[in-house]
Amino acid sequence: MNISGTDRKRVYARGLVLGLLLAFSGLGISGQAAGTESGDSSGDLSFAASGTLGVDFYVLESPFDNDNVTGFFDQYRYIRDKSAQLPFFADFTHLNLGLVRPDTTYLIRAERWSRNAINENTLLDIDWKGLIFDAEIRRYRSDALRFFPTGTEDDWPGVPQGLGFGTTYNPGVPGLISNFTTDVGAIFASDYRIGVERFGVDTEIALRPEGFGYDNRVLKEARLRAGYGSRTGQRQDSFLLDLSEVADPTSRFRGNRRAIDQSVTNAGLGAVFSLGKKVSGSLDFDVDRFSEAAGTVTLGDLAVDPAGGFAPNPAATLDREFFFVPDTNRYTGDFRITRRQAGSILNAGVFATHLKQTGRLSNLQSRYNLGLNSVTTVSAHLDGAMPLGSGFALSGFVKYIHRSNDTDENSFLALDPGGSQESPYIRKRDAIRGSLEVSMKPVPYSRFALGYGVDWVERDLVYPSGAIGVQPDVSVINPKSLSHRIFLKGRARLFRSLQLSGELGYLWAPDVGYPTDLSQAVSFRARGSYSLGRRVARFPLTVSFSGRVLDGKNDDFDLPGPGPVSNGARRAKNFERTDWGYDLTLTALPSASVALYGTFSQSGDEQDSDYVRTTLARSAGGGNFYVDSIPHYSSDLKSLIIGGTLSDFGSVDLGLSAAMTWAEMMASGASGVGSNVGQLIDGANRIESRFLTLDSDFDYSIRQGLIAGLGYRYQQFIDTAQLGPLNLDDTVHTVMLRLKVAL
Amino acid sequence: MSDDQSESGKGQPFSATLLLLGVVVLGVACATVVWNPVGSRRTEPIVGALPEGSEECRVCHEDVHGQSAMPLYHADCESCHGGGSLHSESEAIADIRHPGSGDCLACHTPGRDTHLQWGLGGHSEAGLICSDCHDPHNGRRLSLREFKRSGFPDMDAASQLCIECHSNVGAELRYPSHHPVAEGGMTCTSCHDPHEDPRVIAGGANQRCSGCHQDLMGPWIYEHPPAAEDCGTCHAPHGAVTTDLLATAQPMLCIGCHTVNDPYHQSLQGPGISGNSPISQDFPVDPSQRIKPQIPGERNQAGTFLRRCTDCHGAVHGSYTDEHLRH
Repeated sequence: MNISGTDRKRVYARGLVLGLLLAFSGLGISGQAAGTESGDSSGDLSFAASGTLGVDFYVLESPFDNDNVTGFFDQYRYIRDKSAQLPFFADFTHLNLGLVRPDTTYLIRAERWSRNAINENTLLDIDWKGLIFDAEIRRYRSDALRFFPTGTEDDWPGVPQGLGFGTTYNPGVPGLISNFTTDVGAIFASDYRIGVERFGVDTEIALRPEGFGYDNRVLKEARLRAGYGSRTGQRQDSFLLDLSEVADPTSRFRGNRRAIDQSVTNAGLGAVFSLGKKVSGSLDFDVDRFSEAAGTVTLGDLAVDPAGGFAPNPAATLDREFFFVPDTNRYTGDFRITRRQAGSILNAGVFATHLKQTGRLSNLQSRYNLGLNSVTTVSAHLDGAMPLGSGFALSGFVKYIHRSNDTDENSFLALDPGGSQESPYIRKRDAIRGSLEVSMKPVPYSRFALGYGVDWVERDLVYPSGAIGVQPDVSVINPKSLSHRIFLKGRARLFRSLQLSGELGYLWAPDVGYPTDLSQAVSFRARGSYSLGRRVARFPLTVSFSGRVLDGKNDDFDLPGPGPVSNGARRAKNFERTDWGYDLTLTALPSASVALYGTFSQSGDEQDSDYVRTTLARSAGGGNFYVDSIPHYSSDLKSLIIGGTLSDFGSVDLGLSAAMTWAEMMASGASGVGSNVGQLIDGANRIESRFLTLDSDFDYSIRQGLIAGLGYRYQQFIDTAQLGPLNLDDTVHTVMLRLKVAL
Repeated sequence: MSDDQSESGKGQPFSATLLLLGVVVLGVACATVVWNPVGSRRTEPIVGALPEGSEECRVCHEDVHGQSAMPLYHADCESCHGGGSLHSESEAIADIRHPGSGDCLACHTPGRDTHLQWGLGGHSEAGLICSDCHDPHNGRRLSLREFKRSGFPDMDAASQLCIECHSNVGAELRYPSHHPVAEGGMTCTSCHDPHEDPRVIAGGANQRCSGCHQDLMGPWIYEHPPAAEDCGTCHAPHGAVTTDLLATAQPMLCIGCHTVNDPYHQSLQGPGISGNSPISQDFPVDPSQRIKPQIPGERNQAGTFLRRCTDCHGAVHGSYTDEHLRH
């Protein structure tokens, strides 16, 4: 596969055309605009241009030096032509063209930058009197790592590799996967890299009457916008077929590379207005149309591709699609109004959006003549602050959100004679969230506040009407959530160089919505910085820190019901969580041209769930409902960044930074309790990885407006857990050459 | 966590310590502020200061922050800094006024440059003013201040500025799964408007996600309720230890609510553990340590737990065809 050559040519062509267009349009408008604005207070225009031409050369260490496989860093920095002897990328890493007024503001400006392959941004601005035009063009590609799936075995007697449940399903790259010999090209169409390329254009024209000499009392700005976006490429799906759909149980576990060809078109208009001197507001309407042009894969398709290992049950519905994505229209209105007076501010807003399925129907909808589905969301808020005198102030907000799911409920009947989906769904949801706080400013640049917050949710849950499926007794969603929170927070700026802020809160929830919501919690977060001046340190030194802790539990999520409960007692599905993090940054300025910095950050998450077992029938298969064993989860992430810059040192600029990240996650379970679930959780999907990045840049100013640059980047990803069969270790060296020209 | 542990409240001592620590820190802050606070940014008018004219300022401030020319509308120093007569004599920083956000809003009349909600929300509450992020003297796009000491050479200028204070987010952007901000694929402002109050985002947090992820928003026939309520229930948008920005790795994320130790999941066929046999964490790199094959007739959960739940339930946000959200 070599999609890269074609892409590269296209990118170069696009870049070249775009650059020329921008340059010529800039020059073309130059004369006209200069004439237009000549004699204005802004004076004559001048043409400004600067560009940085960059070339990156990549050296990839095995095994990811292959076009067919996505390496770790390819997730975010797409490298084309990886199988070439020396893959490279060349483009304008930055380009700036424009007509500039004497006061440094631009009449027209085009700016484009591209830092790596298929990652580019272009901005085009026109600012002329009361006319403002903005356009933004973006292109970005992200690749997906090929864990597919995280299997437990790489073969299974009697079943072709990649097709059976429990088998690995990874690209056939020799050496990457032990004992992997089967060609899965039929599934992946010989393209083993999976990625999505996003492209978007957004434009907006704003007119301000004031800029043209018309001071309209009410209308301050009118704006019109339009945009287009596309997402093309492939996604990787995995799913399990039902026993009623597949004859051979070992072929139930399936995977597909799904093509996506999505587009979003949007148009909108809006206005900014004033009502007197104290009230201003905005009103906006938008319409978005989303569509998916790629076809869907049906059960019938699977019978053909891949060949072998699969046969649908004769009674199965062969046209049943997998991962059907509906086309939609979305209509949105947003109204906001703000009143400012004598230190007080009041903001109110109403928002409504209606998301409606349109266009193509799923096969199921067509067959049963089902209606189109839609979701409507409405929100309204009031947000304000006002002084109470003597340094005191009152502030707060209240927000209401309503969400209505207008799914055609006959759809449930189409699939399940029970008349509903197996789990409950939220037909309507109403929520009110708000807080009120009293603050004081004992001295300037400080603020201390005591507040109260509330979060209330009511859900209209629809349960299956039949005997099977999740019933309220064993549901893991409650219809109501209610939590209260009191908090104390403050900030102070002391001695000019010391800043401190923090917040301490306590939450209690009489009603919890989900098992992992917290019914009681204490939270604390703080932030601060201290700068040591020359009188204390030999050179300016700043230390800053931030930290947060959330420690809570949920012992209010009961599993009630008429059925017998094991261990002889009714049980709560207890849950505990401690989530924390902190970081420390040190910045030093030893001289006017030298800056040194370092940041260490660490965060962790600990979660515990209780041993709960009931024997209530829950699913179509009946049986028990329990979290067996005592699962425990912990994650620990550390990051260290150190670096320095040398700026304006003669003709030299030097930048150097290194970053190290450690990521660790482990789930474990107790043994000897209940069944063997605890042991099975141990190490499942365990993550232990390290990232090392080294960036260096050296710029040399050859003469005024001409700078040559040389950079080197080292990236290494080490996967020490190696749970899957695929060795994910990855190392990339990048040598960067830059030439910057400014006119 | 056993019953005894649960009742004794394993987290309580920690919570109490946390509470005490918070009270102490805030108390110290309250106490110290009373000592002798000296602000560096006097935004109130300087009594007795008279206009001197910008030319007088230029005598000493030939350029400001390296910028000799500046936008016309920002060229009159005293329109923002107030009269400079006292400062020009004493050259003391205390004798010149630092413009506050109110000064900016006085000229930036309602329109696209004015952020209606400024004054509410975390940034203004934290005491930030416009000039903490914007430098009206420079000619950069949006007059943003420049900050290059983040260790993210490919990150856009606005995001680098955010990272200066939100260094914890900078660390998260280096986690195994993250939105491509560090790579320049998007910016902090793609999702966040630093001027508004995040508590009153129109429609809720999911509306922001829907701007790029329309294909996950449905409307579905079979909807995963947490996905409908808040994407943040499962996802950590800045960065996460596991794939797909999941705040907690699978299977723990899922079994926090769901159970899998039921007959259905136990009966899935596949290699796994027989009975209570111990397993090795190092499979299958070393073939000798692979999981024992399933003994026919015995139930096991290996097929579930040793994979991601989404390997089978691939349509975890919602589905048109499967009530179990498998496809």
